[in-house]
Amino acid sequence: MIAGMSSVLLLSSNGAGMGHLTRLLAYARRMPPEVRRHVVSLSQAVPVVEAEGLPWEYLASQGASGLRPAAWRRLFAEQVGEILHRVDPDVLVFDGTHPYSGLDEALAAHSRTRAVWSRRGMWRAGRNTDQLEKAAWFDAVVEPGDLSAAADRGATATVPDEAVLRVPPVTLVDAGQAHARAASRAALGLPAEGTLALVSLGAGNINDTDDEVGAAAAALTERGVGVCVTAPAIAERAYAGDVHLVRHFPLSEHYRAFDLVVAAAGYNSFHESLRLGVPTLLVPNRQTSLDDQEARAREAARQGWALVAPTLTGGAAGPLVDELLARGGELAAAALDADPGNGAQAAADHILAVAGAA
Amino acid sequence: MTPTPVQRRRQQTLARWTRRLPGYRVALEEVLPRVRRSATLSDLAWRVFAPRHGAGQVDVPMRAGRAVGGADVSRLPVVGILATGLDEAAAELLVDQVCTLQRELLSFRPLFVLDVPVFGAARRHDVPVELVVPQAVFARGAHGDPEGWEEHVARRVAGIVDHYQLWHLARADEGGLIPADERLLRVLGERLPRELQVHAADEGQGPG
Repeated sequence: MIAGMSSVLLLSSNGAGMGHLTRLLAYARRMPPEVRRHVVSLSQAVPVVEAEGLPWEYLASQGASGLRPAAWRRLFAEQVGEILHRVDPDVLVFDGTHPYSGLDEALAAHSRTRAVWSRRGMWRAGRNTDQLEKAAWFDAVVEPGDLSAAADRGATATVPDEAVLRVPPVTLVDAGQAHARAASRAALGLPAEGTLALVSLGAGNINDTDDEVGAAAAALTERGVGVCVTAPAIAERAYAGDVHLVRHFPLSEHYRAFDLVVAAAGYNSFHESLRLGVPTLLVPNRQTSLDDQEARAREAARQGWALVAPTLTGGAAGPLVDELLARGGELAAAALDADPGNGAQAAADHILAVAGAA
Repeated sequence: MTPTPVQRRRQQTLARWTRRLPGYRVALEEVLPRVRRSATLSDLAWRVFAPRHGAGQVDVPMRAGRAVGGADVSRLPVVGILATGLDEAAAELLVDQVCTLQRELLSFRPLFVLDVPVFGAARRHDVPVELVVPQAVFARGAHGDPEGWEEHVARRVAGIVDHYQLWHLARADEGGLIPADERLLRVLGERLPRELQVHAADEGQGPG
């Protein structure tokens, strides 16, 4: 460590999507520039960190390696140990719902470094409860809040307030940092005029209306709404309609390019869409092992912040798009009213306070 | 073969149960090390149990890649391919070339150790990649001692050799695998057991 400077190692699990990595970057962006920040991720999306001007490293996840879990854990512990030895951070921040065995060994072998667990809530009821014990590996636990926290029935919701720092929902971009519509459309190479919807429902077949992506695209196209997707494979396969591929990280900086969002109800896309005031139709992913997207989405519908549907197939998409076009502004305004603000700054401040104890 | 989630849970339960058995710690920490240190007892164990050893004898779980299939792919030796300092195009070409060679020879599984994140190419072939920090980036000082790149690579590679149970660590440069290592991979197939069930992925079952 260089004297007088805090040094923070941000470690993300792989997970599905980029939520863990994005949350860590939300903290990193809100630390003073003299703080040395270093990102280590098990996500193959980690090269996006280059654009943030931060040093980064990649470690293969157990799934990416195909190793036996026990063999991978030993490799992971060694690799994290090598990084701790080399970078010598004041604090390590792990963002994930499942701290890997081996992390405890690596931390114990480098006792100078403090540790913080950044752990979002909204776990499926009764799932992952054994992981809560791993809070003992860390000096502090930070919980990025959830706009739908009232519906949280998962294990983290039972943890007493004195054992965790609960901050408001965390997103990388604040409402005030999002670019204006015209600038965003220009940056993304989108037409300046016309209604556009971002469709972010994971991989899918855009030409098949029995598929969620295809059903959304067909209903939007029939109503003259252009479709924007983030997956090249989806855009390449589109043989009809007004389909645009948008590639930018973080895309939320340019959310005002979109008039509507049709998305799954993962933590990041949910909070980005609602915080940035874009009328949103949520189609919760029911296949997640831990993240209770259905509960998050149901609460948003109950509060009048977004439309929610279990599926867009079978003719469901058309009436929902009509309703979103008619009532979207009202829903988005209600969500903005309910937003307590970004918790990223409070989390970053807490992490640096823990670092100060190293 | 990769265990199913149910099999994995059973394994974890059995492992937890075994670790709680009386005498487990004594056996692990005292008896086994003594056996290993004793030339006589080790020799006896080899005579009694005759453990299989050598290329293609031991099951080593790791992604096999899309090029090969068959019941015994997890017995194909794991070969590390170490290349640093390549640009992205050369690194992608290396991944393509080695996977083509794997498909031709059906005698190894590649694990790439690179300093360029060519994840797209790796996913296309479904092969694992480990990354080290590029030397030029390391020299800027944000990854520790700017002079410490060689030690960083050495430590990373040592762990990879151990935990992926590499049969060999091959070197590559802008021209692909160095000729001596390519020759070695070409003769590796002769050492594999004849009964190994491995085939090119789009072909039917057949002898390896």
